[in-house]
Amino acid sequence: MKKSFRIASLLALLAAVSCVTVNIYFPAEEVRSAADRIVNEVWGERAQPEEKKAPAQEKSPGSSMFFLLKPGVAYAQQQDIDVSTPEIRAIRASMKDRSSKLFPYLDSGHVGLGRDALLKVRTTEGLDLKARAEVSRLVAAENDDRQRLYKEIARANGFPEKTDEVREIFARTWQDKASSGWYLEQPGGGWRKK
Amino acid sequence: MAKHRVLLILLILFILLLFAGVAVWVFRAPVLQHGIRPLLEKTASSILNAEVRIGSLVLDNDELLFTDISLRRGNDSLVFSAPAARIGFTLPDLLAGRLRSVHLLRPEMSIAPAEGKEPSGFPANPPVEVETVTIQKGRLILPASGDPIVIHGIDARSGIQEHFPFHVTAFAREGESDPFQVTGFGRWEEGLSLTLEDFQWREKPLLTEPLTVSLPSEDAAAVEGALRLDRLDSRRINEIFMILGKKSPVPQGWYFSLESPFVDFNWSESRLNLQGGFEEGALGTADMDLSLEKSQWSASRVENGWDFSFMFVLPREASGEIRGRIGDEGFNGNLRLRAPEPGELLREATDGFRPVLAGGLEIEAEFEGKENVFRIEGSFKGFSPGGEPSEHHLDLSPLAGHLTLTRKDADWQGQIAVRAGNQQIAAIEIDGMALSVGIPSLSGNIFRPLLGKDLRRLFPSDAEDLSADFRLFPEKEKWALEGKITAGKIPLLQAILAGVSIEGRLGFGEDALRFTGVRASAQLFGKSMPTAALTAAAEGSWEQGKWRLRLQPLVAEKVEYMAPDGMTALAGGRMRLTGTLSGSSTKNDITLNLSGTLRAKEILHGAFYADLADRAGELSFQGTLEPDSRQLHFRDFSLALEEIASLRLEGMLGPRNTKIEGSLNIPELKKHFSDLFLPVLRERVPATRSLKLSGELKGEFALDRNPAGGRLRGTALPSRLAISLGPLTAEGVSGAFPFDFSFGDSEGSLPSGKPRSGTLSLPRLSAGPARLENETIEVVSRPDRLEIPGAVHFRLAEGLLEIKKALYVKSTKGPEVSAEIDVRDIDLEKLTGELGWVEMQGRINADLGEIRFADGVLTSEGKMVATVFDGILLVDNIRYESPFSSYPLLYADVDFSGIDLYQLTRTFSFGAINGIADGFVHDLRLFRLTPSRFEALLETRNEGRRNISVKALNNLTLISQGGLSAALSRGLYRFIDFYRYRKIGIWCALRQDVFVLQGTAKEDSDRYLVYGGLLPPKIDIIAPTHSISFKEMLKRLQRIERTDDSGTGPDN
Repeated sequence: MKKSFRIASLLALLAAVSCVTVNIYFPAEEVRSAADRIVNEVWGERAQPEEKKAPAQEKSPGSSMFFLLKPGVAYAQQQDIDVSTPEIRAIRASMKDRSSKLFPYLDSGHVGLGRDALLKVRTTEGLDLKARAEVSRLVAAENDDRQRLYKEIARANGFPEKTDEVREIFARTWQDKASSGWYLEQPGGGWRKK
Repeated sequence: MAKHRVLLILLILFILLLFAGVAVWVFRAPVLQHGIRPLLEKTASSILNAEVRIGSLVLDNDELLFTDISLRRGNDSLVFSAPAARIGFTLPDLLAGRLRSVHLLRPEMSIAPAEGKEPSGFPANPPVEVETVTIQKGRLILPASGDPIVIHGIDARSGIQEHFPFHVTAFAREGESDPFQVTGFGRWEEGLSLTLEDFQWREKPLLTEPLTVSLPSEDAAAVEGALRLDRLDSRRINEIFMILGKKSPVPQGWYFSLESPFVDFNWSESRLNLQGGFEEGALGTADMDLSLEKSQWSASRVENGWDFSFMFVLPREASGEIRGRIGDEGFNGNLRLRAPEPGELLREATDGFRPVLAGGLEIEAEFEGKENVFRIEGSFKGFSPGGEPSEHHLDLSPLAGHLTLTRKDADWQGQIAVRAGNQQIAAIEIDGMALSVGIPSLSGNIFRPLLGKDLRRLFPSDAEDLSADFRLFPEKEKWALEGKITAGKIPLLQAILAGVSIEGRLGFGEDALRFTGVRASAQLFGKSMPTAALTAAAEGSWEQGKWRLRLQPLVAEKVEYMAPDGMTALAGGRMRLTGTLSGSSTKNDITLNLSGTLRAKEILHGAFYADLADRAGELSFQGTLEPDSRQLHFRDFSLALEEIASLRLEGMLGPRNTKIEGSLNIPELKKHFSDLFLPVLRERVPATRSLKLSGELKGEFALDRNPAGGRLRGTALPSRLAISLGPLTAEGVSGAFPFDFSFGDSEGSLPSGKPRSGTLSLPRLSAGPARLENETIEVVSRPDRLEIPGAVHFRLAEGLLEIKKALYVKSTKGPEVSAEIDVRDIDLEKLTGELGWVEMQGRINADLGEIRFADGVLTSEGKMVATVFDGILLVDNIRYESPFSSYPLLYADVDFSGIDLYQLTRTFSFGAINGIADGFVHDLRLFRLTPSRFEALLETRNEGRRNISVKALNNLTLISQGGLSAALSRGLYRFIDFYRYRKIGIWCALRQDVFVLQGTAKEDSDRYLVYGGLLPPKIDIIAPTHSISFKEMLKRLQRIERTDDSGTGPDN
């Protein structure tokens, strides 16, 4: 009987331990803040001021008795976000230079903001061939820069495997800061005029 | 007594008879004339059911001579007359009821059967037996339309007995020299039966079987007979009627022949009935020959005409029936025809003309003919004969319609309305020899069920508002067709032809068709297809199975194209093609011989845009298009783009496979070619933004493509080629450059093949300070490999840069470039001077080992060693990422030792530091020559002279603290230029844009960058306690005092 109780206790302990998962901390707020700065810099005055949002309330560990029943989360130490590496600065400069050429196409709705944090050519209706080539070039170059930017931010800040999370944050930021009248890609694949 | 009385009576009677006999003999003439003759007339009239008259009756020896005999049956159905007749007899014959002979001289008989009345019966037995009947120079008159038929010169010999032979000769018309002869026999049994055993005319027998005519006695059923012939044809009929002086019933231009024809006739139910048939036959004209199989006909005499029917059987299981009535005023009736294979029937009838038809056809029509007018009106309807339809062009089974045709004076007129379902699809007007066809505006799919597989494939079934008007008419003994076809819309692959109009003229010759004056126009448009206004003028022919179409010309104007994504487009295009298209009816291949010009104003492909400024391209093409396999075979294709390039091709282009050999000539790369095509390259490869080209480039190539991939082989032949790309410049490059590459699934998997080599002459090539002059390079090509087997030597800063084993390999992982690079004895001072850098002294030697570029990364397995500032600089782990992008990254580890700090600081005007330093720069990451990460250490050795100038101290202070120390410019310190130090130790690192500076000069501390000497004045430089951003560090470096401070130190 004692032996059985001992085995059961060990199994329970093992189960409790296995519920604790250790997450590498991803500084979402810091990345979001960095994204705000970069978007503001790239779009300049065309960037919409950020809407005030209630900060997300994340309960701290132990604030609930149910915490004990949930998988445990171990937080790594917070870290600063560096978006000033030479490479990032070069990318930002390149994007800022390009933005004035992209604004007319964003304003006209030929280019929209994708949900993947990239630009997309929505339509080429009404554009002559030269303008079509230009919009294609601009969007391709911009997207190359954006891809490199997201990757470099993740790399430079020590979480290179989190490029997709960086991209998601930027996707929201680009759309949040988009000017009125610009087109935003919707979850179903359609477009909504902001 | 009684006995005597009897004898007396007998004697008296004998005497009376004797007297009577004597009296008769003495008065025989009046007795015959007035006694016998009326008696004979009465008896003959009774027997022959006719009115018989005898002019006179004379006894001549043993013959009776009759004169002016006449016989007339009621309604003149039988009229007989003879001017004289002689009857021979003997008393015993008379007593036996026989005559010895009857001879008729020039008898004439006219037969006209009474309308609706059966002929009176013949005597059941011979009324009198005659041993011999002869007729001399008789005439027989038979009724016929118009003038009666008269048989002349009849000479006959026969008899009147129960069974008697007869032989007749006669002439069909007066003046005829060749009589016909009839031989036969008669039988008088329950009526008269005459059998014609032989009928010879013009020395040919007409009868295959005896012809029997029965004239039954009064109690028999009817008059009947049967005629059997071996053959009867229109020629014989025409001859007979010509001899009879009658117009032949066979229409002019027609003929017929009947094998084994027969006629059975009888007279019953008050009318003459004929029934006939034949085993097989033919009917036709000069252009048509219709075979007839075993068929039957019948005719019955009715009031004022005949009722007739003809049930005929045609080849290919076709059959029909004609019923009607023919009379004095014309004929009428109805026709029914059923032909399961009308196309084959028509082919057989026309000996080759074969409209390939499927489906059967039924025709039901009424007809009438009067005088010169024939009219037929009825309907036709297609039907499915069952089974799988054979290969065909037109299926008649869904068709129906109505026809009205009138033939007047040899001219046909009429209308034919053709329906498919309930929809009228064609109205045909016939006017004489001209035929007009009108197709109302219809959807093309109405015609789809009518078409065979091949035509269905070609026919635009999705066409809308399809209409046509054309006219078929004879011209110079041939047929011609003029017409116009229009369509509102014709889908063509993914395009649509709108407003289609085709008009022209088609002439039908002997085995030939000629198209002339063909004019066509249409608007081409469609999603993801070019739009254009098309016009064409053409003429063509079809002759002996071969067709040819000459374009004069085909013009496409306002050619515009826009891909669905809007990113591939062409604007302002024009094309003008002349030449010929030809082929044969046995093959679908089309032989093309075309030439023309192509023009376009703008083209777009993704990011590539070119303003072609309406530049013209001259096109020439000779080849074959195989529609079945969708292959295009080039015998010779050339395209010359004005002032840009010319291309020649031969080979085959298909949807799955391509085999092409060709040549490309770009006479001048500098101007138009560069303007048009370098932007594409620059967009794709940013590193080529500065690329400039000039000179001539030719090329010969062979392209072999299949669904799995392909292979491109050839030789590029540059001539006086000049290239400028950043620091790389080449001039006067000429020679041959072979290549052999695969693509698609074949990429990197080509079997090894025989190498091909070429040489490139390089009069002048420079890559920055590295130069090469008058070098000839051998280039060897193998499948998916390019190799420069020899070493290429560049002169570099009085040293040598050697590139060996340069190899380009296209593998399944992508392209890879590798080479071995050896740098020897480079004068660093010279090199830095040529590069415009701060001049440094020393020499560089490097065995970089194998340099390899793959997946966008350049790596080196070797090391570079430089002897510089009296020390050694070792560069290792060299790695260059994205070298051709806007964001190149260079990685390396640098170790140095024995560096004379004095030379170093003087070179960079940092101040002056005496000492020997060792250290490293590890994990170096350079972005565009700007460090973005590194860890570095510099430490001086604890030996030799070690001092540092004030300027250097100030600069180090600037780096560490961000500002200058005022202490060195105050008090005693301001008079001191150099300070001794025990050690300089600097460790710094850049990570995540944070620059960390620490000192290692003093043990147990990480803050001493400069640890001063033991004796005063002692100066220490302390590292800051906090990190700074690299941006701040760069600012500090920019503030470093660069002014030269001469001197080497207090000891110098």
